[in-house]
Amino acid sequence: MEFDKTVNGKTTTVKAIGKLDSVGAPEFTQAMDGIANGMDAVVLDFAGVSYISSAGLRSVLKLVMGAGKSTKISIVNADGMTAEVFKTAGFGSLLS
Amino acid sequence: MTPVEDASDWPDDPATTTLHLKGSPDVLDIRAEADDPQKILEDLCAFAESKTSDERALYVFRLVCDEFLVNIASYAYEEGNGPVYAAVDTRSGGLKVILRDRGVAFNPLEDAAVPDVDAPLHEREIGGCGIMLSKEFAKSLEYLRIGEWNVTIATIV
Repeated sequence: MEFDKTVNGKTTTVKAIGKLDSVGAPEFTQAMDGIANGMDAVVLDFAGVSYISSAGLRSVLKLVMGAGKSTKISIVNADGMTAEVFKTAGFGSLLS
Repeated sequence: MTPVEDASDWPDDPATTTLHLKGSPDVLDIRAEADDPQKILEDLCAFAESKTSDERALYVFRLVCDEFLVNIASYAYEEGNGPVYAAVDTRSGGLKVILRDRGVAFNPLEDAAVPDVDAPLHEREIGGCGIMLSKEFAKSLEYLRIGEWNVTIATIV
């Protein structure tokens, strides 16, 4: 996967590109290491994410749990089936 | 990854194999080792993509194959690697995958943990979503235990 990070004040935006599957999930976790530290919000732009599996969901959940409740994690631009997977798995609250 | 040539270690129920369809351009049948699920997955998806342009069906196909192949690689064989037979049937405009392994008996429809999708994310257990998602998005899922074989049949469309 590819990741493009932009920091604006207390908000970090990450554009992710690729498949968030058992191959992409470890790359996602590595790229997200420490990203929520000191931030009010982390916005994940998933316009470029063409697929997510349960391995990808786990990596997103790890980010949410690691960030704690002081940093809001949100996902934008997840479309079609990727958004459906998030909703079906109970991750719909992250979508905006 | 080799085409199936030898039926000697297959389940002998013709309803669950596709041997009788060998040679059909609408059926892919491969034997592989379970420890490289990504390679098997890409081969299955490449075949499916050559047969349909239905993006939703292809997404669900990848998701279901991905989840079951990773499960087989992770849990089926207690002592190292083992075989996986994977067949894709696209006859009559359908899309179906049949996965067979000789591992520990596991009925994904009954034995898999069910995640609490209503729990707050900070309280969620990590894991358990793969089979639930497959159940939700596949048109139908069927599991058979035939002799030493786990047989999972997923109809996508």
